[in-house]
Amino acid sequence: MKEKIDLIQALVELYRLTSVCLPKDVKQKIKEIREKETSILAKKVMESIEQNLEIAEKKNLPLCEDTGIPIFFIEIPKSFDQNEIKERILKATETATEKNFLRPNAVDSLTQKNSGTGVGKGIPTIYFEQKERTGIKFNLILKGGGSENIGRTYSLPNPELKAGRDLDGVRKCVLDAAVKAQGLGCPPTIVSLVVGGTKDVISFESKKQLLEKLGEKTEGKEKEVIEFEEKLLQEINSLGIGPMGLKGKNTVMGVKAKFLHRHPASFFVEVSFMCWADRRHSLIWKNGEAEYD
Amino acid sequence: MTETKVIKLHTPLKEQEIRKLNSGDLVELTGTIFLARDRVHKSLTEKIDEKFQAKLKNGVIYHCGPIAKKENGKWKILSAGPTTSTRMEEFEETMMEEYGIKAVIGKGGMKEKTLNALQNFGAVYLLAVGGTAALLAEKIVKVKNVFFLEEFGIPEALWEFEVKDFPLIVSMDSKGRSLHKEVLEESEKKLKEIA
Repeated sequence: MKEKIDLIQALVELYRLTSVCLPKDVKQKIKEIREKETSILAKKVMESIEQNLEIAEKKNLPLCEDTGIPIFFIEIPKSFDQNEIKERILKATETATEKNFLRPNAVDSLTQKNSGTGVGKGIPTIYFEQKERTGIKFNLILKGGGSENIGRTYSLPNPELKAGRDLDGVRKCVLDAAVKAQGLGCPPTIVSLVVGGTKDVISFESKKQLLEKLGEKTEGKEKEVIEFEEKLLQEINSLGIGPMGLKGKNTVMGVKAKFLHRHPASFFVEVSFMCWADRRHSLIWKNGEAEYD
Repeated sequence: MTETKVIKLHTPLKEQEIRKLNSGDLVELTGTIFLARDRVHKSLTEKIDEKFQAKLKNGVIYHCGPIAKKENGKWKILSAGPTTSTRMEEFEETMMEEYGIKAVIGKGGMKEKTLNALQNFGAVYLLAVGGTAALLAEKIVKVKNVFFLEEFGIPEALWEFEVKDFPLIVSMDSKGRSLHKEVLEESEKKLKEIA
């Protein structure tokens, strides 16, 4: 889909699309899970989820009332001014909030006052990365508060979990996080795991990793990491927590893992979760034309 | 579609009816519900409010922060799914004891204190499917009132809705059974085996 459009309008449309429609790969996975579940309650949950997706698209409404925190990962060529782009994003956030595609989710943590506009200090979250490319690519995630709240950071070794500084230690952290999360972050969730040496970097990378499609083969990913992801997917699902935590075969839709370098003294494990309402879409804006995915 | 027996409930709720419900039952609720989350719970339990004691008696609380739009002076609810209930764990017993709440709607379930209170006061916890906000908004037939809007903002105000056939699952009953507790215990047991 290509059309001549002002950037602010194009960003509002990106917000609408992301709030109303799930990406194809997630819809497909939800359908597969609905077919696999056998208990009355798990089936009921998955059926409600599918019905909800249809209603939201048909009526052009946010599929979940918690439109979360918008997180932008922007791939930008050298020739663009980042501050100008940022200003347009803030304006688009306000407009999308006025149009009710976003709920006003920015609360001042000192005064507890909701800004009412969807914009606040640190909200939306915007990351730029300079790239050799034509046109700007805006990758957007709407990350719900419930799934954000169940994310955890571990420091290894962790005697309580009997988790050492190796792959098995990392595995124990992820399983612990999944058991502690139970039905709270709206399972079946997506787990994004990053291991490394500084807390800010692994936290950032675990969010960015959520841009990867389910089942997507990431270029250059080590064979043992892919096997580790598959093993974790099976093991978390074997816990039986199930859709919305009411027992079932599917607690996670996918597991993504990434291993970075670390300081010899530090070994941090970041476990982020994304709810089944895995809202991510992208906009490529080039010569005043918009293309959405 | 799965065909299972669905129990119809109407507000004001009757304690003897609520006490008959079992965890795992599917329910459809018709009548009035009150939306309350973090700040409303804190406010109503810090200072008992007589006006709300009368309004909430034998009533239903829904843990939800909706997306609402004002059109020609009238509120319209666009999207209204449940929020995580455990944040209200500290307060729900008081809501049952002081305000006569008979059903709490949310997601994720609640803990021991609330489970005990459900037994003591003849109330029930009903799970709405998290994230199904467009589907649930279709079941809201009317916005009857909104309180604390200025103070708390749209997502945290106390909204009064009329709903029809609001689809829910009993996940904690007044007989001491909690599906959330069972799933937690089973998953912890399984974790011990594999970790």
